[in-house]
Amino acid sequence: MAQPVLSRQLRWLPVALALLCTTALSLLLFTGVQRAARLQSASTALQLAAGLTAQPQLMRSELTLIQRGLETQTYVGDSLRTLAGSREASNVAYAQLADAIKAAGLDARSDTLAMLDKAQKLWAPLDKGLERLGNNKTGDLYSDSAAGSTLTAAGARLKRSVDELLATQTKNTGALSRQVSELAALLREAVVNDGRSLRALLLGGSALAALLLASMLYFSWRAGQAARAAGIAQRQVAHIMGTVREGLFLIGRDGRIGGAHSDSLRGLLRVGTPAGQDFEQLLRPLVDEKTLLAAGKYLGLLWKDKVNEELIESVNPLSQIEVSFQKAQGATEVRYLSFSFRRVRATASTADHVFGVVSDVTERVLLQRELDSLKSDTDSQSALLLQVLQVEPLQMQTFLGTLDAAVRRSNALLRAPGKQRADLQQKLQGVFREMHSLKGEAAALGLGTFVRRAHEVEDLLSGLRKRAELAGNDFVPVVVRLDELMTHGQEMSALQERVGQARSTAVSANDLPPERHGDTAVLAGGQVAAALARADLGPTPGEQLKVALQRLCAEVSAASKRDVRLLSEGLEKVPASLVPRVREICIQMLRNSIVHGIEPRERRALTGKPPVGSVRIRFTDSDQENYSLIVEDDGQGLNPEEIGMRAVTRGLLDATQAANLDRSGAFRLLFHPDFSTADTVSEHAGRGVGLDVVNAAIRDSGGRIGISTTAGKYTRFKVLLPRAQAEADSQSSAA
Amino acid sequence: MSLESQVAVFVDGVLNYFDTTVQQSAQCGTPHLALSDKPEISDYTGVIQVTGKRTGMVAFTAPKSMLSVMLMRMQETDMGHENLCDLVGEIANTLSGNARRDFGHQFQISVPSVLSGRDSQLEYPPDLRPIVIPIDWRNYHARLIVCLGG
Amino acid sequence: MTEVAHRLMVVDDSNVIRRRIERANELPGVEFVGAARNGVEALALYEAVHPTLVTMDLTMPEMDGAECVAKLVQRDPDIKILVISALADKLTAIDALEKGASGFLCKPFTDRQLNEALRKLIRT
Repeated sequence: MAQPVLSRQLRWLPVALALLCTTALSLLLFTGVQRAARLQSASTALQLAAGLTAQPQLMRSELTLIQRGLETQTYVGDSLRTLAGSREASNVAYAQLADAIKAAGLDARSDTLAMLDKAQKLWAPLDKGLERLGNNKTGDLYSDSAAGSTLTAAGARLKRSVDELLATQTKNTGALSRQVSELAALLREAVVNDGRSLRALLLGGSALAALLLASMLYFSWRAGQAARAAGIAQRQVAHIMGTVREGLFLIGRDGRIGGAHSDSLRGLLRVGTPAGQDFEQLLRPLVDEKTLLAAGKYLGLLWKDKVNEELIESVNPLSQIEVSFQKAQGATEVRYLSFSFRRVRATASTADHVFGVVSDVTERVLLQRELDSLKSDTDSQSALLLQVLQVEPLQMQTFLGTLDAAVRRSNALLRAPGKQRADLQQKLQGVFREMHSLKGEAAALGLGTFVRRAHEVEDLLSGLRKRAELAGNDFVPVVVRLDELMTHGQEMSALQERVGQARSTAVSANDLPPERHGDTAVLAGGQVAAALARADLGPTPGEQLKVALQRLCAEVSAASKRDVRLLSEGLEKVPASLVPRVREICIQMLRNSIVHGIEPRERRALTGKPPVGSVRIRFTDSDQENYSLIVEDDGQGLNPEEIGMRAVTRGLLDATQAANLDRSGAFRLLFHPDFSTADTVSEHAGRGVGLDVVNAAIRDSGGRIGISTTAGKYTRFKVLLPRAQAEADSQSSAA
Repeated sequence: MSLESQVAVFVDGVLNYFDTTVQQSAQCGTPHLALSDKPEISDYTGVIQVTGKRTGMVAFTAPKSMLSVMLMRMQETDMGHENLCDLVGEIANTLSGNARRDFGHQFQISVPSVLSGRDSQLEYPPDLRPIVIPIDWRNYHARLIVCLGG
Repeated sequence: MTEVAHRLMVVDDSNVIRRRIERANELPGVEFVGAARNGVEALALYEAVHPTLVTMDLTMPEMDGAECVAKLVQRDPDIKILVISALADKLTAIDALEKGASGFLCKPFTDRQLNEALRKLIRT
């Protein structure tokens, strides 16, 4: 704010300075002219005085000459005339001298006039004497006789006058001479002084003139400079207004947009000439009535000084609005604009403009929408229907039961008291295990929509697990997802019921349904019927398990880019009561083998292994005490050192512990909840919960697990499940 | 706005209420669903019915002792039944009102109704699983019950 | 500022809040003159005590706060009204300000926030 005030003051400075200089200069010149006139008079006076200085002596000499001439009877006419001329000249000179002294302003000095007065007083008797002398007849001064010439009476009279004059005036002439020369000296001094001061005056005048000229030059240069700067600034403003993407504008008290606005305002509001238009009227066709009403009220508030700016800004209803532009053929284009407003005050008291900024935030809004919709992505009906059709009804019901139980167990964990960090971590891990296991079940059945949901919950939980601080409210998203999972289960159940009703009316089978659940093919009525027909075959739980594991193998190997063949043996012998447990174990182990065990095709080729990896699952019931389940892969085997290193990076062990780690200790680590050997997290592996789930399932059945492995060759897990426990479980579940 | 952010708005609202009004933080327990059983309610329950983008109800239920201590911290000397009802209603009202910041003007909230007594019946919208969020303050246990659908 | 006496009226349907605002006010020169439970009561009380400063809840039975703000400003255009409401959305605030309120404080609030809001109100 200080800058413009300063420049406003600066604009007056050159004018004032020039005015001052000119006044001073004319004053100076006027004084100079006066001084010059006075100097002229003074020097005239000096000349006169100088002339007068010699006169008394001159007159004395003439008088003496006349005296001698009379004595020797020589001609004295010339001298008499000279004397008369001198007297006249002196009288004129005295008169002029008085005038000159007055004109030179020297009369102010009393001594000058006194001196003149004194000189004139000394001159007066001399003047009188000379006057008398002049009155004498000049002819016939001598009469010639034999004895010589003698003075005539007139000559004698003249001689008497001259003698008298010389006798009386000798003293006076000396005094007069001195007096006049003193006056002359005084006048000379005055002339010299006046001359000097006049010179000084002229010098000062020249200096002033030079200063004036210089300042004129400087200010004209500055004015040029300022004009150039203003020109540059103006061009820059025009440049900014032309290129800025935001619409910048001013609204006056009359609600109209000001003349200066950025070019982009036209494009943003789709108006040819926004200047001079009423802002509210411009908005009217673009927004709904509610927004318009709010905008009108808000703009009104901007002029109300009763309400402070901070509050005003916080309630801006136009910070993000949806606008629709009419296009040709009645089509509309929807954009999102963001407006912000500020009061512009010229004086401290009231706002005289409102400065507005508008920008197009459509992309940002749409991106946000997209993100939001990704979160709440609803599955296409056909995908859901495919899932229902692909899975045997009984299996689906079993799965939905598993789902319900898993959600309930998770909810019970959350419901249990305890909000200390350890409690929360424990809840977190418990829910995680439930979801991981559920995800495996869903994947084995090809229920992609459930896999995705369970995976999302895992994502949330693993995000929470990394947090340094954990509070109860961090679990809000988890509980909402559990709710959604349950709702999704209900949807699926309702859908299955509808399909069940459809099944009774199904007539014939034409086509096979698409194989994979991800397919978005729209099912025609014929396909539905075909799928239903196939679903009626009713395989045993053991056979279903076999199919499920084959499907899982295909899923996981495709997702993790491995080529894997699953060979299973004896799964049909698994007693029905043990199927869920064996299924749970097999799912996690199979997934583990594919993701962590089997190498990519190229690596296998390098080590001379067959390109397609294989996983064998063998169930035997030959032993009296235990069932045995073997899961074996021909992958890279387990490397205790690698396990130790990873445990260190996971913070499970320190370096010394890792160095002292033995083989069985290393393998035990595999079952730790926080351990994982895959580098990336996918739906199928990478969180290290797989073996944790297996361990929990085996523990619940009172069983054991053993590992044998050779680096680069194979890994074999052997699980022993006691028959007694299995039978007890089956009885308790039957009861 | 997803349901989880909406629930979070209410949870944050409760915690903020304690921070500002009684200037002593409350802790939030792990939220859970009320599955088969209806969530228990406490001595006093403030209920707000909401309509608009979401329909349902929001309730805050707290024991008498907790509300009394809260009043004490607000320098209130009258810990009578009226004031306890008043406070629990005000809390429910504040939570719902604050939610309009995030849910918009469309989100309509009712004047709070207050239930007193643990055996009062809280009406739940059908087909919705209420989310129960335990709120612990000092040694007292209150609950926020959020039940929003559609 | 201490010379000018402001006469404060509190309008809120919650007894607890009314009493709290009365207690919390610690501004010099601001004198509590009365409290009302709704808009209708507030208008009646206005005639009796002629407040210069008002805190106003919005969601109230009988007459709501916004309407009451408009009526009070009609009676005294210089009256300063601080709306104190839990309704935290912009439109509610705009509406109240447009009707003549000068400030908006969101519930819940601390005593300090209340005093700060009142101080700002007196200054404008």
